Parts: sequence; C-alpha cells; structure tokens
Amino acid sequence: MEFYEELNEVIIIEDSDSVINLYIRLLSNFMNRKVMPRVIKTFQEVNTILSESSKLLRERVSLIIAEAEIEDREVLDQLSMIKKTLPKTKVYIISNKVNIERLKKALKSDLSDWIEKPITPDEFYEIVNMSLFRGQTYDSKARELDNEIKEFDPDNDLKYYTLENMISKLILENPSRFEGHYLLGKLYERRGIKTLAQKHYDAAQALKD
Amino acid sequence: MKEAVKYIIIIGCGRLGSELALELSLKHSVVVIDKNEESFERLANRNFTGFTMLVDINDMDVLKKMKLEKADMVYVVTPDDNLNFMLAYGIKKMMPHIKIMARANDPMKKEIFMREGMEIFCPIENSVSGLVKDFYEDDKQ
Repeated sequence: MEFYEELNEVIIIEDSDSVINLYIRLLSNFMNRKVMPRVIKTFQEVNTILSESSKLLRERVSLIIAEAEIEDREVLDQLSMIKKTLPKTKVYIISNKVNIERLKKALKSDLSDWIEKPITPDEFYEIVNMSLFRGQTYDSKARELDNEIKEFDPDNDLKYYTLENMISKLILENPSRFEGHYLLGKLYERRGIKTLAQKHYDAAQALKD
Repeated sequence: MKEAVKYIIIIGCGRLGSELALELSLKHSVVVIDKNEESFERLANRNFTGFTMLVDINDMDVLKKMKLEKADMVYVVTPDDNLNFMLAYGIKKMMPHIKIMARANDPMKKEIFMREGMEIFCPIENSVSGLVKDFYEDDKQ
C-alpha cells in the first residue's frame, strides 16, 4: 500500500495564453518541491473549483494566482468563496484591472495581496516561496510516521504509545483517508498484536477502495 | 532554481521588437509595450511567453508602472529615432543603473545617442557590415 504523492497544487486563473505560459515556466523552477500547476481559463471553470471536494482541495492547493477578470467578467466573488473554503491557501490577484471597490472587496475577502501586472520573476518567486506548504500536509505527516514506525524498537513502550497517539490524531484529522489505519496496522504488526493489525489493514483497504 | 529568469522590457512591438520579444521570451520574462494594440498581433500564435502592455509610450509616468526599476534590460526599439532617444534618455536619467539598448535607425543620428553614453543598435549599419563581410569572405574563396 502506497501513500499519495505529496503535491503543491498551484491554481492559475488567467485567460491570456502568454501569461499562463510564463507562470508555468516560472513554476517549473520549483519542480523539486513537487509543484503541479493547474490552469483555469474560463469563467465557467472558476465556478467548478467550488463544486470540487473541499477536503481534497484543502490538502493540495497551496496557492491560487488569479486575474481579477476572466473573459471580461469579474471573479472576485468566486475567489472570496474559494478563500472561505480554503482558508490556509494563499490567494494572490495579479491584475491591472484594479479600482477602489475591487481592492476593498479583496481586502474583505482576506486575499493575500494584489500585485499589478507585469509581475517580475522576483515578485513571482517570492509569492510562491511564501505559499507552498512546508511539510505540514497530511501526506507528509503520514510519511514521517511511516518512517518512524520502520525505525522504532517494538519493546520501547513509551515510543509505542507516543506513535499510537500520533496516528490516532492523524485519523481524527481526516477519518476518510486510509493512511492512518494502515499506519496503525503497521504499528500493531511490529508490536506483535496481529489481530488488531489485520483489522486496521482491512479498514485501510476498505477506505482506499 | 534551475535557471535565472531575467526581467526584460521591450518598448515598441514593431517588426524588430516583436522578433526580439519572441526570441528572448524563450528563456526570460518579457514585457512588450506598445501604444497600438494591433502591433501585438505579431506575437499571436507564435508561442510568445510574457506580458503585452498597451500604454502610451510617450508618457514616462505610465512607463514607470512597468516596473522599469526592476528590469535587467530595457530595449527601446520603436521605429522613431527621436522617440527612442527621448525614452532612452529619460529612463537613463530616472534610473541610471538600468541597462538600456536603444535602436537608432538613422546612422547619422548614432552620435547623438552615443554622446549620452547609450548603448545602441543600428539595424542599417549592422546589415551593411554583414553584407560587406560576406562579400569579402566570398571574394577570398
């Protein structure tokens, strides 16, 4: 059983091909951090983000870079709703279509910043660096615990209870993910509690399926 | 980081400016500025990567909004030598540290640019040098 690949999804909301290509090129310099760009070019597509599973979005989307207008229609209301769904995700507007009303709206929606076009490479790198998740995702926590289970001494009671507690918290954080049960199964297996281990492996498999 | 992407501003999207933009945007972040929207059609469907900005290039204050001070290089390549001189001179005065390359179409006006310490690109002179060089090389063979 393998964990999901840890990803930093960056959503680009922009309708100019040349600007999209530039953002993707600049993001390619962060590929060692597993940055996955996703482009949204139409007004209709912006609305589809809101219908996606908020849980999955919360865990994957680190950054949203958006133009204020797509296909000549303002998307600030949509961005505001996305920000409510993804409070930890940074949302930057990169646009020249700025006025007082729009700035007020952006501030009220707690959007991270409004940068006027053209954005320079340094400005771009700065916002990406400040926004990418840094080892705080569900996946990275699961991966760390997996490594700890591999290395832990099964006779060390204190470490065993600590790990069991940490994995339980991980399960509570996201009960629908399989990784927590898989890790508990692995922990119990190493501790020699085979029946309980099998129960958690079964639960993990069921959740994964 | 894989490579350093430079921030380059090109003022004028005519035949020279657009070709320069296409070439430089293969590796760098390019902003092309022009006052005629139709000029940008030269970049359409040719994989240009970067920003096109429709601004009145006679207005220095508007040009400042293009984040000139952060540019690694500014090319002033409109077809008008007088405008190129005025822009290059104005930018150099405002931000002396910026690297500027100005286009001088008329070789006779070259000296005016050079007197102000500007780097220039003279398409006619360059073409003539190339042709003469080719002529002598062919002659040797």
